[in-house]
Amino acid sequence: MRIRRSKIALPFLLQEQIQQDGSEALSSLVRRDRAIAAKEDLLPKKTHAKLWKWIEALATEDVAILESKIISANSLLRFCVVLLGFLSGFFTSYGLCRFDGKEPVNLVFLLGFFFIIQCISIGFFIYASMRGKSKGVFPCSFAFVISRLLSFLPSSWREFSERFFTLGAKNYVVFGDLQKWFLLRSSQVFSLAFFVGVVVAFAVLVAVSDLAFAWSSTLDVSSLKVHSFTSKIALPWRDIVPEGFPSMELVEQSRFFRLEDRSQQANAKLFGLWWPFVGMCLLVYGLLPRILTYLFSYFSFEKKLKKTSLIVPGVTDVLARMDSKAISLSQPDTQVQETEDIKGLPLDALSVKENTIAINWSQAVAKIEAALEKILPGSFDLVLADFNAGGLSSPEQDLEIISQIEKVKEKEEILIVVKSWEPPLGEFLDFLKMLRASLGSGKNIGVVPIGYEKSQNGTMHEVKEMHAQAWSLALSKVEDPWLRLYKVNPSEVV
Amino acid sequence: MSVPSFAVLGHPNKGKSSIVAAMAHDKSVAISAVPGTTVFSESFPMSVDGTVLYNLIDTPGFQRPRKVLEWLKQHETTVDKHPEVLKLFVENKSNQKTFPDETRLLKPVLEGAGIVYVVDGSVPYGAEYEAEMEILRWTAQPSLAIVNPIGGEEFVEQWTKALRQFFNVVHVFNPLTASFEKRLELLSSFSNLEPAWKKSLEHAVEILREDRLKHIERSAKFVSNALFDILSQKKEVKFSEKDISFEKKAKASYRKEIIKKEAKVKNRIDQLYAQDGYASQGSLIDELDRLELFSNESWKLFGLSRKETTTLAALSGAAMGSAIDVSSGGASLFLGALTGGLIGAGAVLLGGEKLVETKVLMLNVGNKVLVIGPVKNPTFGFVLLSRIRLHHMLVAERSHASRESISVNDALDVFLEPLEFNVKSSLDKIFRRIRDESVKDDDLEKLHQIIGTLFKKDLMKSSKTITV
Repeated sequence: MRIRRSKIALPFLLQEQIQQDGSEALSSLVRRDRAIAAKEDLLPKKTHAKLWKWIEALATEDVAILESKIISANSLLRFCVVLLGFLSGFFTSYGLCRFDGKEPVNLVFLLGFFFIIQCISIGFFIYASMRGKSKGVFPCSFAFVISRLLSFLPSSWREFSERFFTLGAKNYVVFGDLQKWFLLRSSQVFSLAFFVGVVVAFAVLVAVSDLAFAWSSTLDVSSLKVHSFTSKIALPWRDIVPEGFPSMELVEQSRFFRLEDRSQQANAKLFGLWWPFVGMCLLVYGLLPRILTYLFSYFSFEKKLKKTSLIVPGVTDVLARMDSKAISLSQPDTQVQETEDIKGLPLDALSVKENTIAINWSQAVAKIEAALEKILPGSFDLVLADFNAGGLSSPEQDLEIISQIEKVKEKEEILIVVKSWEPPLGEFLDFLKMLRASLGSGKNIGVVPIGYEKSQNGTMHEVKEMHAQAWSLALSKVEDPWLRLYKVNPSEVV
Repeated sequence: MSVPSFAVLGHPNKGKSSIVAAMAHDKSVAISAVPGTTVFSESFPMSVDGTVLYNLIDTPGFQRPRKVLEWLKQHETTVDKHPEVLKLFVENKSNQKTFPDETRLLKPVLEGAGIVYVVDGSVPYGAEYEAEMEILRWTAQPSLAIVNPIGGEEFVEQWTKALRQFFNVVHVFNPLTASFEKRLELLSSFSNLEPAWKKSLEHAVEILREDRLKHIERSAKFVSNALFDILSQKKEVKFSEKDISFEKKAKASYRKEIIKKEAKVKNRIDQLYAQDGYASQGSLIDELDRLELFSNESWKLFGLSRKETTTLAALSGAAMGSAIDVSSGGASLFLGALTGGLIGAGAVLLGGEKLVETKVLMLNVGNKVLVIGPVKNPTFGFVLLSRIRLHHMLVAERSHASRESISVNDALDVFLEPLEFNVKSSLDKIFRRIRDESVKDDDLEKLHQIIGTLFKKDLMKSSKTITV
């Protein structure tokens, strides 16, 4: 999906993508994000560029739609704010400066009005800038108007407003500062547009109508004082625009008393000479501070935008995943193998029958006679013959033992004593199969796993449950119906 | 230069796969009580950004070593030709059918892999092993042996003596309990087998150490964020008529939410250390998980004593009181600090057992809201942190120690670094501010740093206390 890299959208796109990642396994996220970073070959310091690459690499349709909604809503909002500001400024200026042909515009009132408006709005701005990210905006402020304006956005664009302003305590920590500076920037756009409107309306009136300004006050103010005051006001442009510096004569002659002889209206041309001063006042004390506050709010917002993108929960993890080397210690995407559910061979209690042949497999015991006597006293009397097989014996020797057993006529059961702690190898299972082939059907082969002899006194350890289970599971694979697995009872172990 | 490869070989059921799983940190390695679970040789490469630094190969166990040795001896010419005879053995189609396990396990060795031979040190040495060790000697590949004391160390010495006759290096290593440092030590020792592998393995060890530190840092971040979240958690429930059972239910649901959040943090830690999905049944981790967060036992084990809580509360109260002393320029004769301390201590002594704060707010006519939380008990933060610390330690060390081998209570002493008083005091202050919703800007960062340091200390301590 195409991402347009709108700066204002980045924190929200990150939040959205990180939420979508919530259900993914961490290992796959690590591989994925590192692969994105490796592909783009980004320098470690270009954090925001990295985040954009990340968003672009992963962007789903939802994320792209969200970005376009944010862009549209932001543009619409800015347009509304500019229009509203411009029109308010234009009509305010038009209303205040228009000369109705009867009485000239009172300069004291005109300049005082703009001075108060400017002071209040800049005061709000400074106060709000210095305030922490406290919840809510100051009632009746421009920011307040903007926040209300947002709720009138078309429903398809309201998502932006909802994400931005319906924060909740947790999101407030992240987006609170950004929200504040967004409102402050919007309020400064409004103010700038307002004063542009004021200046434009003034210029239009100057061009297409005859303006008349005078000054009037009930207070006992001398023309000298007023001239001194206006001179100070006009100091910044005195040398550049000398017409904007009112002369003493102009000040003296443009004092206006409503009860005086109306013949003063003959001075209409003189009254009109004030316009360069008024125009310069509006530009220098009206428009210029708004440009400065706008620039300040613009850069502060940009700064907060950058900062917010980095503190969106989960972003540090994304960056860590992109910056960390992708270490894989295993095969990717392998699954845990399910072990087969095997039913083991049952463990029977050991009972040595008459005419038994005993095999000591792989030196399971030092001497089969002593071992059987320890396990079941008197049992060795029932043994016809005993052999050693497996272990250090060669495969030929094992075969030889099988052929010797075959020759014993009266045998009832073959008992193989094995080390319980050593699981049966393939060669033991081969031996069982060969023995069965030699014995034919019907004769029992019993396997007796035993514990190892204790070094101190030669008694035997009990067979551990896990070892018995390993034998039971391994022997069940032989599928010999006359194969028995014997358990040596603990009481039988001397 | 070829990538160092190590084939882990031995008898069936002697913990070869456990060793590979521990070294590869891979849960997909099939470990089973059924002998012969590993049927094919399987590679577990360690790669960094796609570059393989070393390769571990899990192999099936020897099944017919005596017959294989017999075949080899039948085809033997001179000692220098042993590897070639083995190659003939592996490539022989008939042998591939008769000796499937041996042909599979020997193949990677003949392709250049080093040999890591594994035996069980808890059972006696047996002469039947000699055939397979002899076969491995025929390969003429660099080799080392590992005595794995799965069920005890009774026969480790006996095995070591026997193995030294076939292998130059013999290590004792228990994959179930070995600490991260022990695993790295073992990996480093592989580099002694072949000088050409040294660089690659040292690089791998270095990368793993760096990665480890990053994991600790990230875990500390998860945990500090989670503590912030849990300790400040509130729940609002609307109701029209207040009744006792309603409040009880709401409180129970509030506790459940917190328990869920604790489980989520633990799961994140598991994921970070690639330990999620491990069957931990019977392990200490399992035992720890069963111990409910709000149970008396849990609070007894992980919480602070009444004396500690009272001292911390007194100190905190005294600190607030001192502010009055300072503002009065000392004219209050330190009465502020004294009174604050007494109030703090008294509050704990009288109401310390109260767990969750509740209050009822009025809404419109007939409707009320019950606000539950945050948890006011000063011990709660410590209980939560200690539980998570122990979980982190066990997961980070991949210690699958069984609950029979060590109790949770002992594990706390053995594995975790005790909290120093100044750390307790700092934590108590931060926890208090979170509860009172008067958090300072740097509290989260401070908490993150404290937890990160604790995690590092725990792991240092555990790597010393966890044997082999």
